Amino acid sequence: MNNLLRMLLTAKSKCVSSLENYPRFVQWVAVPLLILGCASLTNAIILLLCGYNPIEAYTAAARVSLGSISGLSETLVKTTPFLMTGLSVGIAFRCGIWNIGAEGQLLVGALGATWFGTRLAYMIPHSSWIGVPLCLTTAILAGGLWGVIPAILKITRNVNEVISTIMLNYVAIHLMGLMIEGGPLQETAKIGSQSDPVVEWVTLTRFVEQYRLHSGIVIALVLAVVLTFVLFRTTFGYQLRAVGEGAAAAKAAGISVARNTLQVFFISGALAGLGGAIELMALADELTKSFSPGYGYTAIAVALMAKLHPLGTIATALLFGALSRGSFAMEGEIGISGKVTWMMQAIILLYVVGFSSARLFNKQPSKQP
Amino acid sequence: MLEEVLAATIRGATPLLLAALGELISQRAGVINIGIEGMMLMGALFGMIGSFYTTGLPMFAPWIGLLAAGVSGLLTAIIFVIFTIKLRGDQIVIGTALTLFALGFTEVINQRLLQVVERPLKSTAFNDIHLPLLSEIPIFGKILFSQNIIVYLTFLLVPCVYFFLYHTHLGLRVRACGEHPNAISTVGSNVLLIRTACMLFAGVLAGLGGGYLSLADVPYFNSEMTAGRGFIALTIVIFGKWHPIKTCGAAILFSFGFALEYRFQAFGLGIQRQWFMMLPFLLCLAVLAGFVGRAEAPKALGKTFDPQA
Repeated sequence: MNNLLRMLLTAKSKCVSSLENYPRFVQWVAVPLLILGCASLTNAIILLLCGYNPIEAYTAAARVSLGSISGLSETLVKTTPFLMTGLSVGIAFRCGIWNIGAEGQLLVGALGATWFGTRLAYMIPHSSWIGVPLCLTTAILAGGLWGVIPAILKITRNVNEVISTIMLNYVAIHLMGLMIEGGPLQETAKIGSQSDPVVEWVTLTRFVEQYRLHSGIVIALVLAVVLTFVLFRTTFGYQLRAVGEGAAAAKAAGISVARNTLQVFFISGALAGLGGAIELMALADELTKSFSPGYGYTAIAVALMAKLHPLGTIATALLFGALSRGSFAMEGEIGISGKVTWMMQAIILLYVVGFSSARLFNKQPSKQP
Repeated sequence: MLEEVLAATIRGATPLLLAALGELISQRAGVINIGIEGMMLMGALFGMIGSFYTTGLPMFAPWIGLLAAGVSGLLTAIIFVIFTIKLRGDQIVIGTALTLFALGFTEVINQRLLQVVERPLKSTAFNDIHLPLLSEIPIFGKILFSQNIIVYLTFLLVPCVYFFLYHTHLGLRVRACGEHPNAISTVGSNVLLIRTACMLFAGVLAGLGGGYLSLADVPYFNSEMTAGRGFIALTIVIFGKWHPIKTCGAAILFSFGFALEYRFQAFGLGIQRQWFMMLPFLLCLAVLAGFVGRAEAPKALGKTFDPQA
């Protein structure tokens, strides 16, 4: 049985295929840099055709996102939600589960944290040593349970998780609207469509008062390391990857695919939900409709560019954080719409797919072992 | 009152139906396109641009806009095809990428136009056509026969798609591509070619659906104007159980819900609008789970086909 599993794991996975014949350095450093270069160039050409000066735009972006301590702090602040959702999507994809629902899970996690932070928190002792962990736990449960819904639909009703998670994203968006626009979580004044700010004893602390960088990034980094350990050094991670390589064969080897799916969906949802909670508890304070600029969708690019490796995700999340921060500079200084960051993300994603395509690298389609 | 709601239902159903019919055909061929939202957005932007730059020719401007919308949808679909069919990328990933791309790209272009162009960015919209005699019929005349030309054409497309899928040779092959691509490949059909053609058709329709928004619904572009309509079109296809006639019914039903919501809002009834917005997605989940009549997706939906494997 062990041999069978080992065979499965060496089998080429969907997203990571065909680069395995190359040295590790090429796989992990050269190719991502090449992707970044090509994407920047493509993006620059589009900007040039629009009549902007891409060199000016890029220098402004680099200067603002990386050139100063406050800029770096903002970049890291932006990195945190990308890292959390990237880890969430990455672990699901590893298990062969196409969880497109990180966006919804993040929102529901944030909703859970809002509920705790603006309502329940008054019932506990007013100390952040108790408040913060409890608030994070609420978000983990909320996001995780939201993630379990598509898992149950998949296991019992054979519903394709791609479609169900997309649907649940929209249900979550409108659920959030329901709660903060006239619903039970609307601010006490009942005027704006937003929640009350979370109470002080559930907010995450900043390292230095004048910079927004907060302890959430530490949580995210620790989780990335823990997930790496779980994925590559535990039986659970082994089984998870085996299911990802081929559910039928893993089943034949005695792994319960249903249980695995359920667990992975819970973890994936919990990570995204936690990401939402961290964002809320550290920065936003109150939940508004524009809380997430599509973190859950960007996460797909973050995870795939990192080849679904939790440690790689740290690097790609940082890149996307810098891009996101840099787009503010492009908007402010050059007048390019800040949404240019989505265009750049999409181009990166397309190049990631292009570069991992078997047809570009190997003339012959790769042989399955 | 009811007349108005129903007329609004038909108007609102049109862009949804256009996009959904394209999605229906591509899904029956086994291609799931979640870039549909992006394609609609591209159609909406380029529809407006096409019509804006030909304002001097008020007769043709909306048509040129519509053409531009269709072409932009087609070009987006070509990217989709290159990555999914030529490079064997995953359909879900590419679809997500295209939606993200369109969200960014359209806003960048729109903002640039606002900076460069001095006059307001408005498109020349389609006028309503009151069909002679038919529009005189009480109630129905106003609901069904006093709409703009795209509405008529879209609803005419429904039986065409039905006939194509169920009563032509090619339609049979399209459906086979979605169910058993290996089998249809063995008997000599080119699965990749059929899927490419279906996908390009879907792209054009999604682009036209987007164009409807900026050429007939309102005479301007806004990067939030699709407002998830692409994904609602996806739910419509599922709720319509991958059948053109039922899909048309689903589009009308959902659109009726939205039209009703709008009225409720105007009268200030105490129902939160989010319930209406959430409903299509909940219904769709219920259908998929088999609580409201089971819907079976095409078996090879979303699976990359490799003729050499």
